[in-house]
Amino acid sequence: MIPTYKSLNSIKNIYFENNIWSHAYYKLKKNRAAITSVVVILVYTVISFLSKIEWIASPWDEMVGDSYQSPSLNSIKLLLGTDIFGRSVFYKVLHGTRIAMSVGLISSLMSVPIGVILGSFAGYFGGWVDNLFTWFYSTLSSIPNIMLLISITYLLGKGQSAVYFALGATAWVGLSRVIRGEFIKHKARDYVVAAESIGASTYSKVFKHILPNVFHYVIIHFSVQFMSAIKSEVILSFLGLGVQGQPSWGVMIDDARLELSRGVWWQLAGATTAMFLVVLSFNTLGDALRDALDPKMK
Amino acid sequence: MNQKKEKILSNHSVEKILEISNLRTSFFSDQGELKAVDEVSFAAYAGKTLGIVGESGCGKSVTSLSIMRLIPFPQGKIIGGQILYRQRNLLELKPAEMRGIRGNEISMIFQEPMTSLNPVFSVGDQISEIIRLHQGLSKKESLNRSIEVLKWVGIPAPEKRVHDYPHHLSGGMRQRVMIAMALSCNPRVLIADEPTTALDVTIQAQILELLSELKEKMGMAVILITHDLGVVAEMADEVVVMYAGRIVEQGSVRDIFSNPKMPYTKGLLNSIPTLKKDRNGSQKNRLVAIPGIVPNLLQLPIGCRFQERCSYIDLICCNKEPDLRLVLSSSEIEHKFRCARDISFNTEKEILNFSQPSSGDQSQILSAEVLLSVRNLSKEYLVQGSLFGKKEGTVRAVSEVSFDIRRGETLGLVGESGCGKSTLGRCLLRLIEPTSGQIIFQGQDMTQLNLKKIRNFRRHMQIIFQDPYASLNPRMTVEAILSEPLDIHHLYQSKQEKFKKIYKLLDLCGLRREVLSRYPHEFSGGQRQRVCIARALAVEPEFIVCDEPVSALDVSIQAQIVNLMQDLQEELKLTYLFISHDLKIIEHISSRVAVMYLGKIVEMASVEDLYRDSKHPYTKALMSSIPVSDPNLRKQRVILKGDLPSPLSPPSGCSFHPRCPMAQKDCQTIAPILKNYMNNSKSCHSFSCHHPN
Repeated sequence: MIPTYKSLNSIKNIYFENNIWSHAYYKLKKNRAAITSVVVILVYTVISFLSKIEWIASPWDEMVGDSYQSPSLNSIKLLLGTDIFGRSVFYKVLHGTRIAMSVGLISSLMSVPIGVILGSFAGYFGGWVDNLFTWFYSTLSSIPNIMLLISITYLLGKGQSAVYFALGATAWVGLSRVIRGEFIKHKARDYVVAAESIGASTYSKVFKHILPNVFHYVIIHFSVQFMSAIKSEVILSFLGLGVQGQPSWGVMIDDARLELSRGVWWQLAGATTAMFLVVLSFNTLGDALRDALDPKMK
Repeated sequence: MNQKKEKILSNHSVEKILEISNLRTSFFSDQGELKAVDEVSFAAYAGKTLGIVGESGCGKSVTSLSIMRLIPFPQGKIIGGQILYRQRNLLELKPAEMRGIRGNEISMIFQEPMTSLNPVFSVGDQISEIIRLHQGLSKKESLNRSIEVLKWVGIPAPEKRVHDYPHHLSGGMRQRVMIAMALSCNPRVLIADEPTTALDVTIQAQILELLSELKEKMGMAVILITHDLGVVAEMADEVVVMYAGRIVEQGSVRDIFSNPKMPYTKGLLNSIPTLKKDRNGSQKNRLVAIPGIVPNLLQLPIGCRFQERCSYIDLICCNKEPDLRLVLSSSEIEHKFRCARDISFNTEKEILNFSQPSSGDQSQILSAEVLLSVRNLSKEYLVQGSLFGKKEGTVRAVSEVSFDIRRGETLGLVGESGCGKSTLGRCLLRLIEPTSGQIIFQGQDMTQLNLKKIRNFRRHMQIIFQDPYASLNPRMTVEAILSEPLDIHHLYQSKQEKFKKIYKLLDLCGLRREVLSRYPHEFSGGQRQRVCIARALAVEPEFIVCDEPVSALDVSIQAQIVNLMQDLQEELKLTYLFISHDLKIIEHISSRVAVMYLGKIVEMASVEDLYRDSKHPYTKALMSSIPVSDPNLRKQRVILKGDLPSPLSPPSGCSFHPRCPMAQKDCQTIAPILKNYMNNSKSCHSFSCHHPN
């Protein structure tokens, strides 16, 4: 009914390179919010790396002042005040970044492939494969997520690697359910039937034809999973099951619980602001990536 | 002259209900103002039908939405003009006043009966809601009134049906309900926006009949928007032809069809195939397509908007956009057109002589080698109830179908939707696994091959789908789409050879080389269908199943694609199975035709025999329900009662007997078999009916 602006775009398009990634790059470059998010995420990554090799914020467990000293601009160590032992809260926040980023990244990297592969196979093949898969994830998701996390960490012992594994092993369910549904929808589409009729193999139909069309869900999941992993780590640490002997945002929030009543707000503020910024950036970047990779959104 | 005209006008004592003058509706985007409707004027009279025709994107629907003031806000806006409804300008009414007119005095029927009804309310609820709103009747009264309107629109047992939900009803029934809703408050103007486009021909005939009956009875003005010139020729009194937001020709239906003045109108008329018997048995002709597509309304050319596609273009066309001018008309309705030149077209349809080797005489077909032979092919679907329920039964989508296709011919396959024709087409390539039967292609039984072999074997047979929007992967460029089949079957030695092949495919299908780097959404429907055809041709097949390849396209584009397919057939010696519900296209392209009803072939004959002398009553009904694109040939139709029965419980005996006008007792018990007419081996005319004639 309303004419579209195809012809205008197609003229422009001739001059572009024939590559979805270069399109995406071009489009991302123009999106200011996305660029800001990339910068924020890069800064977080650099901070985690530098704190790992102890170039910055080191040592974090040194006493820099009195107990519960309020924030001041006099010294960088006192930027966010001190905690009960007189350690620099700012340094703890920086160190916590490393834990958060690695938990987010590793658990996303674990859950995305599991989710995509299980979901696409179940959706594409249907039948008993699908029944088995549906049974499996229904069972898994019928257990309250936090309970599952707790029992896995008990099983593997406390610590960082247990948190990685626990998060990675539980987070794929949501993604694979979406991917399964999308595959069921797409496998009946004419373009997949057309691929079948020109002789495309099952592998090519699943990975070359259908997957790129559902890939935006993976990207969204990646960014959502990143933040929910960070949040879960916070909860686990809060429950005393997470990272031991290292500052993490979760541990800091847990500490802040008791401190707030005394008017000590900086530990909580530092940890949550750091978390807020990275979560927001991932969200924005995820949205921008999804749009950039969609050839229809030119 | 003037006196004479006035006299005629006074005789012509119909009330002018709706008058639209200089209506302008625009849409605004960051790319600028898009004038979807530009200075459009026409009037609608009580008891008369006004047809608005044009390709998609020409502003037909926006015009009708403007009358209802339903233009999506804030992108769209009515900028100027007047819509006078009984001396009231609708554009000046307050929203509340407008709501009182909408649905009450001016109502509208939409194209998609499947999506225009709310699935969670019963039909009666939906109709009585409107009645209660506008007429303030009580719940009970409005329900009674709903039953009454349902009776008008010919719904059997309306007392029971009124409590049905939309999913209980078939497409035709839903469209009747939509009409009932539109008529429930006795509107003075009925706007029907493509009311039959989504329906089968037999149902279309029922709905059109109903519309003209109700128009007479209620003295409404009907505005019929359609792209089907056949429907306009049958229904309309006056016709408005729109192009790129403008009216380009306007006049009585006879003037438009017998004396078109604007090349666009002529082009539209040329691009529809006419049945041979309606064109006095002249030779098979090539469709004269209008080249190109409707221009982008944001980048209109200077001068005439049609210039890029016009074959009568002159210098004068590029200077200034011509105004609408009057021409002597044969009736009291003014005939106006918008063309700088004054061209008189020959009244005969333009015929390009074109020899079509595939549709040679019957003996030639019969002597060719059999390429594909189908024997007793069936496809059954199990319909399961709930998880713990018993299975409910089997649907025989295709039932014991047998036929041969010879090399170089085109076998047309017609039937209503749901008759199993698409399932049959896909079974041939084993894209759907047939339940039983044989498909012998070049001496090889396709049903015996394993999955790997069948994938290689599909090089020889391909399929083109109905919806060019869904059949291309939106994430692949044209280059990737065309490379894929070449890659899979290793059809090239070097990269150079591959591109040579791709360029050749593009040339064959009339696409430019720039398209290689583009994505499917950047193309129009016709171009997409060209890409689909190119992809199918990439593997150098001998046989192509064409599953309604032109049904989703505009008439002028349809003609382009049909011509392309015929050229390709000639050039590459292709064999087609052409599936369509459009009998005119089938007649145009096929050499033999098979008619399917509820999974069975009920008649099969050469195209001449079938269209001249059909035997099966179903075929006859199909033939008579085709709208003829000539207002002088309005005819008495055989209108089939009811809808296609549910394939879950097909009728006993001859499955057509409940709808058959000549059914007798034995039809209910004994299923007729497909047998050769006259037992003559020379003739390939066969049908399954106990009582032909």
